[in-house]
Amino acid sequence: MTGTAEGIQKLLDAHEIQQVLLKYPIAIDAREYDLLDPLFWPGAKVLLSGLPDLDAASYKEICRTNLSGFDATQHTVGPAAMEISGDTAHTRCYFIAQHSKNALRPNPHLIIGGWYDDEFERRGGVWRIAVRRGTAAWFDGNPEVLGYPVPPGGLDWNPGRNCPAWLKSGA
Amino acid sequence: MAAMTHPKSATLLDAFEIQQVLNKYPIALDSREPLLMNEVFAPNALVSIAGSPLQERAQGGPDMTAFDASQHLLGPASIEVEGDRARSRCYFIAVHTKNSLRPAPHLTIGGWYDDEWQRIAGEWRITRRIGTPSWFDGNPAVLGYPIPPGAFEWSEHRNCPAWLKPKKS
Repeated sequence: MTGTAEGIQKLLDAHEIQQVLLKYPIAIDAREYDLLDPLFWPGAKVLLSGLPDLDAASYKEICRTNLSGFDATQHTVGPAAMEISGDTAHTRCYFIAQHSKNALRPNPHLIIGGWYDDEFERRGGVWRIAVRRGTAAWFDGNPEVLGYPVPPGGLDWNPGRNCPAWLKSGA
Repeated sequence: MAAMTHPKSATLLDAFEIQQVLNKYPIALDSREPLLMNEVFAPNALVSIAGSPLQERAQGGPDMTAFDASQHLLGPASIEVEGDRARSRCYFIAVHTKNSLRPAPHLTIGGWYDDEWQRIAGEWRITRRIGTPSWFDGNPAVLGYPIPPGAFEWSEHRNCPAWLKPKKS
């Protein structure tokens, strides 16, 4: 990496991947579900805590059906850790996701903290998600907002809570 | 600059500079450094927060001295650059704290800023900011809100901005 075209290409890849990750919350929180299409490859796997295994199309339909039941959602994501290798990339980005139902006042909110582990692929010069795994670490607020059967707190440890293999030290 | 040989390197630099300017805004507010706002906004920038009429930004920006603490945490921005103009949406989670209201001293707001940018004399500045709250939690008295915690009413700016909508082919 000499700081010339090759290095700049790597920075551009990281920028483009980060921008895909940032459009996802806007698509679901602004209820612009067609904006999900350019973020996922057709047939992309979407594996989220608490939901059955989905693909990009069935996930979009679930969003369309379920998210309109909230008066607000906000999936704030942090900047992603990533590793790019040729035409594939791995990322982990944290999220804090607020879900609000005014009908449940005075306890209208349920907030979830966790992360998305994504596998990106570049095809035809375009980066999109091929596999997304969403892991919830904790939640606070009113369990009824999402029909959770457990009180606020940390969620059970599961493999998604571990450090992803691509980030583990090689030592 | 000689090393920037890639055709898209300019976009990358612009996005980086815009993100850095955005990051100064919470620092100006929460550290109460109003002069720093001049490095964020263009002169005569138009601002609307929470449905207030779009008008010229007050010098120095919103006054946070009424609070014992404020913290406007920003997410990274979705950005589109076109020449000397750009647009961005970035999420915020903003805590406002008044100790005189203990044991319920906090009010937290979530939402986003939609910004229009112009490169002026080589520096990126916001020319128009729409701030849209989506929900709040905590004690309404901290900001004198007349409603209990929950989601705000849906408004035009809760929608996806036009520049981010997928192009119909």
